[in-house]
Amino acid sequence: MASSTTGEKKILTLKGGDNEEFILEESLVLQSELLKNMVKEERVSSIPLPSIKSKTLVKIIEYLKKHAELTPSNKEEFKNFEKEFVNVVLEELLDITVAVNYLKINGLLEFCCQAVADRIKDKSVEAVRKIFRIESDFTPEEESEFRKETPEAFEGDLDDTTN
Amino acid sequence: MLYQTNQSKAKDLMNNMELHDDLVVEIISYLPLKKLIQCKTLNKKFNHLLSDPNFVETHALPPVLTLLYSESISPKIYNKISPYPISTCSNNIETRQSYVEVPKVVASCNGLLLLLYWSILDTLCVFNPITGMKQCLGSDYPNSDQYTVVMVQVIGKQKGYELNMFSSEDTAGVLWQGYQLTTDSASFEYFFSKPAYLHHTLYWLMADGCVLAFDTKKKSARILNNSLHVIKHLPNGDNRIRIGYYTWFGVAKGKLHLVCTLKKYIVVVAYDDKIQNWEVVYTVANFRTGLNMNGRPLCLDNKRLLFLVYRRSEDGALYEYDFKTETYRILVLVPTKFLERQAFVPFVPTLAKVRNNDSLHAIYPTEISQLITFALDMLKQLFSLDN
Repeated sequence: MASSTTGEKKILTLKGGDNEEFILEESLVLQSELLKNMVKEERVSSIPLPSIKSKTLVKIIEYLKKHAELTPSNKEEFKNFEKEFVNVVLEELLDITVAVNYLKINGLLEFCCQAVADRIKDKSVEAVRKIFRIESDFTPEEESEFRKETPEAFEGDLDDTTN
Repeated sequence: MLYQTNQSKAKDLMNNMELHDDLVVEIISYLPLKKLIQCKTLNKKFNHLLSDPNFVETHALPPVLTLLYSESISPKIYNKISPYPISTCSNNIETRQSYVEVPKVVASCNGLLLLLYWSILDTLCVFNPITGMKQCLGSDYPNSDQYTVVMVQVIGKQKGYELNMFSSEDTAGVLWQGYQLTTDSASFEYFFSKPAYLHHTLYWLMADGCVLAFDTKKKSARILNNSLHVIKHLPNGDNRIRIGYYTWFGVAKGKLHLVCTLKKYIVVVAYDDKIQNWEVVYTVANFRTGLNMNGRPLCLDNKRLLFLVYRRSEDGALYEYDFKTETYRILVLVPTKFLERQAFVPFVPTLAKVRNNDSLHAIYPTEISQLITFALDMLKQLFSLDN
C-alpha cells in the first residue's frame, strides 16, 4: 500500500469490481469529485471500487485520459470520441451513467444523461418503465385514464431491450 | 487502516450504485418536453416529482411557450412563441385567430391557464391545454385538490381590498369565499403584471409599488413590508424603481423577483423573507441595439432572462441574457404585428388534473357550450407539442 511516486507524478491504483487493478496518474482521477476528496482527505494510493464492473471502469478511464488531453486544437477529435464513447448497448450505457454519477464526474454525467435520453425518447412509457425498472402503482382505472388523456405516451416504441 | 475506512465509505456509497430515482429524474430532465411530460405516468412517485414546480426550477427547463393574447377587436388572435430550441426558420411563432368570441388568458400558473369569457357572464375557466381538461367555475363545485382561484378588487382607496377565493378543495358547497383587508392606501393592480404564486401564497404587484399577498392556506391577506419604490443601492445613483411597462414581476429561484430595465442597466431585485425587504441581486449592463429600444422583461429563471425588444421600423426580437456567459443573443424575431396590444403568459406544460366538467351542455345552452369548447379546442391545438 506504499504510495509510489515517479518523478513529480503520483500514481494511484483503482480496483474494479472483479479485483482487476488499474494503475494511473493521480492527476487523472481528480476529474472525479468523489475520488478527489478521497485522495485529498486520506492520501490513499489505492481505491477499491467493488461496485463498478471492470468493463465500465475501463471505459471511464479511457474517457478521463482523452479528456485530460483535450486542447482547443483537438476539439473535433474529442467530439468524435465522445460520440463513439456512448455508442454501446443501452445496458452498458446505463452502467456507465450510474458509475459516473457515483464518481461525480460532472461534464461526463451530463453527456451520459443526454445520451440515455436520446436513446429512450421514442419509446413508450411502458418500455421506459422496464428500462428503468419502475413498477407502475397506478390503479387500472387511473392507467386507463392516462391512456385516454395522452394516448401518444403509450404508443411509441415498445422495445424495452437494453441491448 | 486507510484501506478499511475507504471500504466502509465505499459501502455507504454503494446505495448510489443503483439506478435510483434521483438519477432517473436527472436523465428524464434531458428528454424532449413532450416525452418528459409523459414520464409523469411512470408511477405515482414520478408523477409527484415531475409535477412539482421545483422540478422546473432545479433543472432550469427552458420556458417553452409564451402565449400572447391580442385584444384587437376582430379577429381575436392567440399567438404562441416557442423560443427553444433555437431555430432559424420561422416556425417558432404560431397563430390561431377567430372571428368568434374567445376567452382572455387572465393568468397562468404551473401549466394551467385561467381563461375569462367576458360575454358569458364573466365565466372563468381553468384549462390545461395539454390534456384538454377544463372546469368552468361558477357552474358547479369540484372536489379535487388541485387549484385555487383568487380575485382581488379595490373597495376604496381608503378602505382596502376585497378578495374572493375559489378552492377546488372546498367541498362545503360554498363557491367563492370573501375576505377583506383594510388599509388606508389601496392601489390598483399594476395592469401589465400577472400575479405570482409561491409557497401557497399569491402576490399582486400594485401600481404604487406595494405587493399584496394572500396566503391561500391561512386565508389571510397582507401587504408586504417595504414598497418597491424605495429600493436602495440602485446603480448609477438611481433610487427609484419605476413600475411600468418595462418591469417584470414573478417567481424565480424560490423567491419573488422584479426585473426592471433602467436606462443603462437591467436590475434584478428579490424579496428577502428574513429581512422583509427588497434587495438588488443582479445588475446587468443594458444591451445597446440602437436608439429608442427598450427591452420588456418576460421571463426569469436560474439560467436566463428573456425580454422582448421593440425596434423601430424593424421586426421585434425576443432576446436572451445568459447569466453564465453574460451574453445577449436573439432567440426569435417577432414581427411587429404580433406586438400590438398583447399580453404575455409564460407557460411550462403540465399534465396536472383539472376537474373536468365534460357535460357543458347540461349547464349552458348549446350555443354557449359550443362557444366555450370552440376556443378551448383552438388553444389545445395551439399548445400541441407535436410541432
